[in-house]
Amino acid sequence: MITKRQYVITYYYLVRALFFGAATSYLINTTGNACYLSAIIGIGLGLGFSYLLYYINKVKEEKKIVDYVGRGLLANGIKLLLLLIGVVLLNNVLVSISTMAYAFYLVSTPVIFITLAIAIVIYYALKKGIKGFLRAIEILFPLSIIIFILKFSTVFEAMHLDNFKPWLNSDLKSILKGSLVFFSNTITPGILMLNFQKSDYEYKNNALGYLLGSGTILFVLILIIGIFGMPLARMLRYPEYMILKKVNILNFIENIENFLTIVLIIDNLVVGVLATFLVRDVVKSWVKKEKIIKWWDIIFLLGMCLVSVYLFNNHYANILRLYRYEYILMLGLSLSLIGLILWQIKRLDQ
Amino acid sequence: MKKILLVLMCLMMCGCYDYKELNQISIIGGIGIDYDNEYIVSLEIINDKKTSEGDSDSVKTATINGTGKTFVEAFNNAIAKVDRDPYFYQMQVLLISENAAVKGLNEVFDYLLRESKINNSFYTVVTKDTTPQEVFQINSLTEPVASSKIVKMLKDGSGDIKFNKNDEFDLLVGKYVKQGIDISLVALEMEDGEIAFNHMAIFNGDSLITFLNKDDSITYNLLTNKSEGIYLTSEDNVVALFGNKTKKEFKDGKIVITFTADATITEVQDNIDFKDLSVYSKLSQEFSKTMQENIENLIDHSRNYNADILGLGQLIYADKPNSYQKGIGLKVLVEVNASINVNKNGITFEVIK
Amino acid sequence: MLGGVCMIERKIKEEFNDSSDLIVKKIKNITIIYLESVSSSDKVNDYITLMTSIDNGKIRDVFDRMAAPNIKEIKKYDECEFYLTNGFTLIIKGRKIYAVETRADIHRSVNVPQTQQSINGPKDAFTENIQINLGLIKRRIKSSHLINEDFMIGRKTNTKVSLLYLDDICDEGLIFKIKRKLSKIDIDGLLDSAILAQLLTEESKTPFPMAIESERPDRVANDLLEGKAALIVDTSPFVIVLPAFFVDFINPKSDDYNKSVNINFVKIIRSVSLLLTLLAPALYVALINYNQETIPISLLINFSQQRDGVPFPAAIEAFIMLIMCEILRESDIRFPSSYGSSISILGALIMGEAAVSAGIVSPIMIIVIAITFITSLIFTEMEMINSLRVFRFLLLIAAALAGLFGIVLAGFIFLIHLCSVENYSMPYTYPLAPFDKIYAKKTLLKEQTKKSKYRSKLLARKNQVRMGGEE
Repeated sequence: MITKRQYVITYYYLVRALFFGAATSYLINTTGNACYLSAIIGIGLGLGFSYLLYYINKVKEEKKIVDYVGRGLLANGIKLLLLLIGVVLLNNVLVSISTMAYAFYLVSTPVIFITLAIAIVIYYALKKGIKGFLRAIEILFPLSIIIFILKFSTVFEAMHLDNFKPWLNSDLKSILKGSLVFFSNTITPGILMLNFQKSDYEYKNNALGYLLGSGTILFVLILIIGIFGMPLARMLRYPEYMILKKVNILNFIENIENFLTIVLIIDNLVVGVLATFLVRDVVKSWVKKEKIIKWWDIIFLLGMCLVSVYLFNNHYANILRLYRYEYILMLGLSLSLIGLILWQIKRLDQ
Repeated sequence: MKKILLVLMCLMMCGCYDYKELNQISIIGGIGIDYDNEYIVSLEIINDKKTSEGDSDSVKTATINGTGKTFVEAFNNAIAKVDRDPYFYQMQVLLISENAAVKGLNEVFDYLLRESKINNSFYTVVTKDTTPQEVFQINSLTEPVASSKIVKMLKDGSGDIKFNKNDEFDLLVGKYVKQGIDISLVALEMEDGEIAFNHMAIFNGDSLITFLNKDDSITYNLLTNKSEGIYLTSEDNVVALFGNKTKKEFKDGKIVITFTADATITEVQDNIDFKDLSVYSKLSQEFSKTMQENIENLIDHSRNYNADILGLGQLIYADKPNSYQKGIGLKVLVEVNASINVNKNGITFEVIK
Repeated sequence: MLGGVCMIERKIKEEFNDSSDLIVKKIKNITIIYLESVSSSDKVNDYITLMTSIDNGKIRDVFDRMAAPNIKEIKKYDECEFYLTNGFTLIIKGRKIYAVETRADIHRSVNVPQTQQSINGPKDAFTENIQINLGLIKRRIKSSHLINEDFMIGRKTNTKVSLLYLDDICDEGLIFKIKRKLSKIDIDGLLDSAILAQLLTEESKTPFPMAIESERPDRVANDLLEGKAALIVDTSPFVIVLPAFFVDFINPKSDDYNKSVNINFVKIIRSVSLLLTLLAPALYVALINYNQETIPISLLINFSQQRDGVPFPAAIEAFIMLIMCEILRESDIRFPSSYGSSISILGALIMGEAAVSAGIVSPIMIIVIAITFITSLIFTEMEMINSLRVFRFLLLIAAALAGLFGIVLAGFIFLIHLCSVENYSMPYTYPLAPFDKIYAKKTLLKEQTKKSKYRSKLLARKNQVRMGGEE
């Protein structure tokens, strides 16, 4: 059971999460000065997609999506797509948190240990159940908002309007491509919202959560372009971390960027935990043996740690490939999943 | 119980790879780069062991030098000579000598931007007629650390040439890579063993061209809104300017620079009577003409050296990208309107005769 | 049937092994048996003289003529032991046994509270007698809806436990669950209410306290009006209130007697000191050893000069100092104050100048540990201070291993642990996590008395309006 407030807050975290590390720098690289236009178009597309999610949630009422689709070939296809989305999201989360920790916090620790520490936190959240986890992130929500307001108000004075000119420097094709990048990075974690059990759904909860999450991302993009200007913003690898270095309160508190990036870790952890819950539910509906279900969590998390470290994190070229092609993969998976679920709903209604 | 042990073991494996005790690090305050057929990199170490012994009056900092064919090689050579682990996150200043600036800045900026163990909020200064090693070795009583002294004089002091937040390293590199603007840095020189800032160094692309004279440097600082309280002289009258604003626009194929400021009278001739209301408008006109001449001189002098330090090319690119081509900032027509409003005169009514 | 008088008398003497305080007296044709240690001899003498003065010595029907406040007839023999040990006097006439209450008052008188003091508000405290405790509460809530039910717990101690609740406010499901758990307890002796609290709540899952133990009747009455249930245990001066939430332990209820604007400042300081007491040593270790760029440069040079001569790494130093301070605090509680105050002076000397001058710890570490302990003493509940200690050590270990990143991960684990605790199927972080503005305004911040009109939604589902009238 999830309350209305927790629903909105979870959606807010999920929408924002993948923008740390991968999506922001790729978006600025493809669209340049007009990335906020791509963001606005992406928000429009995302609101429409949230309506589809609301419709599916309303039809399935209090069941989880894994229990609702039932049996059959189409249902197995849907479950397979859900599994793939969960795996892709968890991989993304592990890679992005560990590269951030590796680049800024702990520079000479081997990456496998950082990833294992994150996996321990995800496993602990899994063991305690989803209700406690949802309450914990509800408590952390004011912290996220306060840090955003602090960030925005202290860095605002370093912005220059000249950095936005020349207006509309990019062509229409790259703006549309940027909007697809924005769209796929916000709605793919939104699929995880289908796995909750709630009695009454309203569209305005979805819309509020989506607007809050993507609105903060839009402001961050505007800040990045306004402070750094175009050629430099394209060169930096983690621009949303670099703007935090400019926070300067009363000329006395400086260099607090390490404290302010805590909220970015929280977003990613939320996605990681919910993705692991989804994968566990899918596997539970397929496999009936007791022993595998008992040990599944540990095996799955350890396997994902090894995959993310040894396939992606050991070479910079692999991470570049991840950035470049991942949005196509996520877009394909999520759109085909929604299509299949809508087909299944039509079949089940007959 | 077994689960807790397992978790603790996993945590212990994290090890203490990044654990740095305070006695194990050398805090580096500034980097200096010199070029003399090969790169010479100097590092100023703040918490040398000598500083902790003895009384606080005799605090000294240490300087380490390293040489190499390229900048990165010299840098690594210098780091290898530091006796403890070097720590760069508190770095405050980067000193580049004249020879190194003439050679080129691309390699230096690129390495310092990419390296993750160096922070991005230090200031860059060019040294004129001295080397960075000598600058690091001065030892004044009030501030023994030379890097802090330079930064404090430029940020909080009351000189004519100053820094503001736009001169931090990453924003400087942002200006450097833009098209249509050339950077200019403050130049440091030693006068009788003390540090003085009298000139600005202007660049063309990545190498140093020349130093501007003092008037042009002060005008440049006024135009980029960095300082307040700067004195302006015109026929034995001196005013101090406050609240200066610069506006640059591109219309009808020429650039219009508008400069407005309020002024406070500091030194006047004997025959000025303050109770006469027309004195203020006369003084305003006089100073406005002087300011206009100063700005036009600055633009002419900088154009002689092919350096577009006011960013006129970038302005054209921002407003009308179609009519931009490389070097147009040096050729475009500039119209200067300066208006200085003398409206304050201190706390006395009359001049002492 | 009970058998004759002589048989009953012999059976009782055999059961009590002829103990020296069992007094058996025969007066004319009645037998009086009582235990001298728990009965008051004055009262027994009064009743005997009263009885012998009726009908000139001939006693026919004792029961109708006895002017005693509490007189019961015993039908079964097993109840004799219960009544004798509770201070009753057995009067055996013929085949009938009567029990008259002549209990001795072996308890303290009502006194000021020892551990939960306050400046304003009532200053009476519970004692070890259940009737006096019940009386103190019933003096404050004079309503017929206040229900108390009695249970006897403990095979050998037969301790009387009394469950109190207001039946038009309190939730019936809660009472049902408490009664079911009480009936399942099978223990040989119940000596204090703390043991009952541990038996009624799940002790093994979390170090946090799950029941409020209070010494003040006004706090218990306040909680009863909110919709909670209270358990009074005989021979214990602490009364348990169930269910307890995390925010109940941070602010004492005697804050209600001050103005809201003034006291909100103090409440915010208490919440901030909760964070400080958890994070101070861990944050210090993480900043000094992993993220030195946050500290301004002049302070950093100062720290590095201070830490020059110290042999231990900062994490080990923090660990040692925390354990030394725990030992100091524990010895301060137990040591009788009449032995002199030189022990505390010795402890302070160890921590203070001597350790610094000998070069074992650095001065900044003493300040950090002092902040930790002073902010932990701001809470009123001892259990809460002890439970935070576990998480303080966990955060310190995480900070020593992975710096600020480790603090974030360990803090996340702490938060998930705190939020997944449930107390009688009500979440432990109740006004914060499923956010309820009304209860948060009673515990975390105080609103003006005229405006606090409602009760909380979770505890008092039946009756939510508590105050009417104009604004």
